[in-house]
Amino acid sequence: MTEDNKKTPEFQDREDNRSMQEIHSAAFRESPLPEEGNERGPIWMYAVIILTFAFGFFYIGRYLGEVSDRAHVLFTAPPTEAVEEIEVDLIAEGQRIYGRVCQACHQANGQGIAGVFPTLAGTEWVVEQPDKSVLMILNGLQGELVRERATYNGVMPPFARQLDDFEIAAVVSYIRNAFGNEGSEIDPDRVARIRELTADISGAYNPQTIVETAARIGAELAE
Amino acid sequence: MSTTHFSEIDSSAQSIRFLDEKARNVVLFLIVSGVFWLLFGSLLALLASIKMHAPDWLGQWSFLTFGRVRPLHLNTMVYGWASMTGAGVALWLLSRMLRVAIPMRPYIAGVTVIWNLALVVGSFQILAGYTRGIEWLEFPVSTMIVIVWCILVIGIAAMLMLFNRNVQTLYVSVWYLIAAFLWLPLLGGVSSLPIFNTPTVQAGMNWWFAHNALGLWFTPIGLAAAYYFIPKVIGRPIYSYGLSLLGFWGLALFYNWNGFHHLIGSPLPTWFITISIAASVMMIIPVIVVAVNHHMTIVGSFSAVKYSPTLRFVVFAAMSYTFVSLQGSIQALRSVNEVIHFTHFVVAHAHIGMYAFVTMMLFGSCYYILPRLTNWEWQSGKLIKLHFWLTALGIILYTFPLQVGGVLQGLAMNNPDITFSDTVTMTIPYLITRSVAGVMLTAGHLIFAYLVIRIVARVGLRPAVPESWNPKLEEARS
Repeated sequence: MTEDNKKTPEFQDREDNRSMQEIHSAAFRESPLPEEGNERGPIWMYAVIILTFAFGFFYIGRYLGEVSDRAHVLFTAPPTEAVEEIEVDLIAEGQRIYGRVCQACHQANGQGIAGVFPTLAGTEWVVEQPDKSVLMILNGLQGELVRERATYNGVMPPFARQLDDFEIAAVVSYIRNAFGNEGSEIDPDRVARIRELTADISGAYNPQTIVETAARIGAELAE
Repeated sequence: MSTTHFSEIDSSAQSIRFLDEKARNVVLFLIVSGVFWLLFGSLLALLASIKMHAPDWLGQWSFLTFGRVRPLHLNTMVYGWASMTGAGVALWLLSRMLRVAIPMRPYIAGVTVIWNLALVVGSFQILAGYTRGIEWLEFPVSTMIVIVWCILVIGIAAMLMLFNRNVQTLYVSVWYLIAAFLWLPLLGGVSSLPIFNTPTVQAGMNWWFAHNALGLWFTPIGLAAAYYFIPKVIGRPIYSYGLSLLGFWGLALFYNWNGFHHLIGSPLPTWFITISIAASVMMIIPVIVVAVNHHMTIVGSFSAVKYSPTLRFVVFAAMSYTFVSLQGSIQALRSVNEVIHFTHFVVAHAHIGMYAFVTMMLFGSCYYILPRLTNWEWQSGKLIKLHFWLTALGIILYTFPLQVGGVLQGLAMNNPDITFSDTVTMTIPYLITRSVAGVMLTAGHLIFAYLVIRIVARVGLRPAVPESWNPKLEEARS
């Protein structure tokens, strides 16, 4: 390197960092990669290795649980052998379902909205002929429905897929014992039979066909 | 073999001059590509970080929403920056240690082009909303398969170097690198199979892949670089061959089980998670062994970090590896995981691994490799120092407050009296700190990119020091 070079600004930049650049250049000359030594390592390191192994075996032994596909073994209470029969209040369950499913149209008081959604209070198809309520909930109802106070021409959607037999029995039991109605509870088995007997019916009933179907299954269930 | 058993300086086909000339184009291509993705990934990181405390910012465009920017940040950093630069560093290290020129160079250059294209396509896919929705595997499977295939081709070149080597014994770094090139295609291939369709199994695969991508791909590359550069720069032998062996096989034996500790509390079978936690704790063994091996090699020569940029980055990275690994072993325990799971603590932990360890190690490697490939000098020692301090202090500022905040967040989330929204808003100061740290890291990356461009384009000052392949042996050995 000539003296002229040392006056360039670049070189002065280098001069400022001489130590770094110098050692870097030394590294640039590259000493060969030395062969590995063969020391044994400090004793505490072996102590750590042994303790780690001990912990690993302890941990597996303590928390392995069982070799199965079950999760959370040892970390949740084991399932009790016999599941206790829980007393179910059909009407309370029905009230819950009514609030979730029916109330939007038939209203909390069961009065519906005159001319749009039929009332459930004191209604013949709820109190005297509950099979019709079950049929209606299963398959839905549409068509002109003439009642004392109003004429309706809306659509009741089917709930056969959303609600199971128990839930339909519960909700019908509830509406038969609410809004001033008084009636017996409906047996979920009866709902199951009705579902079975009307399995071949697709689409909603109309006020005519629901009467015919109720008569047919009423006769069959009576046998 | 003794240090003079083979000459590194002569003009034969195994001389480092010959090897570096052959390595130049492909390794530079990989490293420069990696640096591009580092800058792109940093931009995405800043966007994602600021969105954490200013969620409405740039929210009017769907492609700049957090759910797309953040996964793309992860994927470009992992499969762009770290994998590409890592592959370049690995190839150069293998060429040097096995004394054989990098084979299949046109193929490697070709797959690097394809790899870059796949990353571009994958970036558009993620920003447009086409994603697999699995962390670390957000690229659609087809894009991911292309990337894995590219790494596989480079891995085949690595195997050819192993088979055609001109040395008798294999240095410890070679074991790590060859294993990494075997493990990654396995990880990428298996995770791309269409057999993980149920949610629980998919989650298991997800963390098996993501944790192993770090532990069985980036970690071996990083440790190989540390094992190579520490003795190379300070000129002292690695402390113990036996400990190297123990460290390598410990990693190979225990790491594969680790990933499932991310799924503590999930519906995975209990024994599965228990074994994973035990294996995570057992990782203490290879980590302590590697730490002792590195420390005992360098002890007494610590002052060299003042002068050698390479050593400075490599030592910082090696210490980070020890720290992050021991932290990870503790984190895996159920009682600890209960607090820190689903908090920012884990994000900070991942960044100690991928940044303070892997990225800093790659920076250090680049500072050693690039002057030799380009036969040129780094342009400014000042800027290198600035790069180091911005990134080193930046990552400490990033991780330490965020881990404190993460623990507080976790304790708050476990307290039923604190509403969830309060546990979110309480982290805002830590998230703002992270954005500040992110600006520091990005500034460091810009400096690094500037230095890389200058040295690759060979602008500025001519090197005033002896070239690495100086034929005058005595001078070269000084």
